[in-house]
Amino acid sequence: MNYQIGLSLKILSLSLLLSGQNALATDTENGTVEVTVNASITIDEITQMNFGSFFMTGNIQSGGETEGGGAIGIVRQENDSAWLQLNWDGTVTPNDGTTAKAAVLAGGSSVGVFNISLAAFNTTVKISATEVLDVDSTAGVQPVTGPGPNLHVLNFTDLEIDTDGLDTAQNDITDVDGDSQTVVGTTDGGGLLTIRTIGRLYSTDLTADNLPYDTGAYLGGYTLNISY
Amino acid sequence: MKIAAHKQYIKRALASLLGVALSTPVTAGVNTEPGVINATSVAALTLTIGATMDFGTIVAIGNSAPEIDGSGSLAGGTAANQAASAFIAMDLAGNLAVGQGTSTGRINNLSATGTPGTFSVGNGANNVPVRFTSTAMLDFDSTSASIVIDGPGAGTDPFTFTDLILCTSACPVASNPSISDGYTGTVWGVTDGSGNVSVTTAGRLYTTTLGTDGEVYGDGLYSGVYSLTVSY
Repeated sequence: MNYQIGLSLKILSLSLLLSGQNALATDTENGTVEVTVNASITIDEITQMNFGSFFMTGNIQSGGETEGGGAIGIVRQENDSAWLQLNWDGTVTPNDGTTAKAAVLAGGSSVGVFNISLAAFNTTVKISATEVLDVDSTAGVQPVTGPGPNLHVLNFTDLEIDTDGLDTAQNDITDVDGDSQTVVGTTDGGGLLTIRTIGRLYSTDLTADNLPYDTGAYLGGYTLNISY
Repeated sequence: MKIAAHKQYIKRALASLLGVALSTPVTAGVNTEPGVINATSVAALTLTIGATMDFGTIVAIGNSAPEIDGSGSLAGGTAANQAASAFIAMDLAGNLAVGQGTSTGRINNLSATGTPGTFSVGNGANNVPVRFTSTAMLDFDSTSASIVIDGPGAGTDPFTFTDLILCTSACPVASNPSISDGYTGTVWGVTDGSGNVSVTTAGRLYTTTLGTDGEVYGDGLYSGVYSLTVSY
């Protein structure tokens, strides 16, 4: 009897010892992966477009002279207006209208400059504006208004955009179907792109025929939209 | 091998027992008291999440159909298997790197660093190996599993997450084994003298083909879940 008790206890102890090596444990935990997408592209105006100092007279109201508008089919529609062309080198070229006159003083003019940032790398972005010169930019004319009390107005349009820094517009002037109002550019390896802008100012009908534009600062605005 | 050793041990034990038992009746007045043996198996390893893995802020553009979306790295290498996708990779120190897609897929990283994920193992046996498994694990073939990382709102554009790397010691060096013969999905660690071990995690996010070629991922927080399992 004693033999059997002793034998049973020994076997039991061995069993416990060996089975202890087979104890397994598992736990599973879920981890979270997060990323925040910011699809907003930043565009900042670095240099304001400036036509410098000018002299200009308005159109003849009584004569029914037609005011200049945006280009149609690439051809400028200055109509009867005088106009100022801002060039890529920052100079301004004046042009007389049917009766309206224009002249400029050298200096003080500048091309508009914008910086695009926080965009995807090496990626095409679209720049659009209602005043963009493409094939028909008559749709968007922005008033550039002088000081009071007369608040004489020039019309700004025919916006051209250089996206490669080569003093040439990347406007889609081959889009013969109409007004695409979109210019494309490509960001660099850091998601940056610098664009430059020029355009035209047209004289309008003032309150009296051949009235000179009032002296003072004229100010207007145009809006650029950036998207992928 | 274990069975043979087991048998040998039993033989030796029985021989010893018999020797003692046979000699017992010779001594008069001896009482035998059965001993009690107690043992408690604490098998409940615990794995607790600490930090959420965060790739920071990016700008991203999706692939163009029918480009093949990126998946985990292939057997024989740890390089991103991006196919047409762009990807953002985070190492175990939180450093971020991007790779661009072959067509429209783009990722622009806006953050200086990301935040690796962290887990802690507790209740383990002291100083013993434990293994970590996950379907997204990078071990030279992690193509089998990609975790969907969805954006805000219903039906939003997804990224995929895979190529999971872990460090269980000598961080930020990855502890993933350098094997070249395929997918095991296992990384080993060793508990400390208190039965604990800490784990840091990182991986890669890939762009996918969205509804429109070259579509931009919408603003917002994208989130997904991966599972990590610990066992002996």
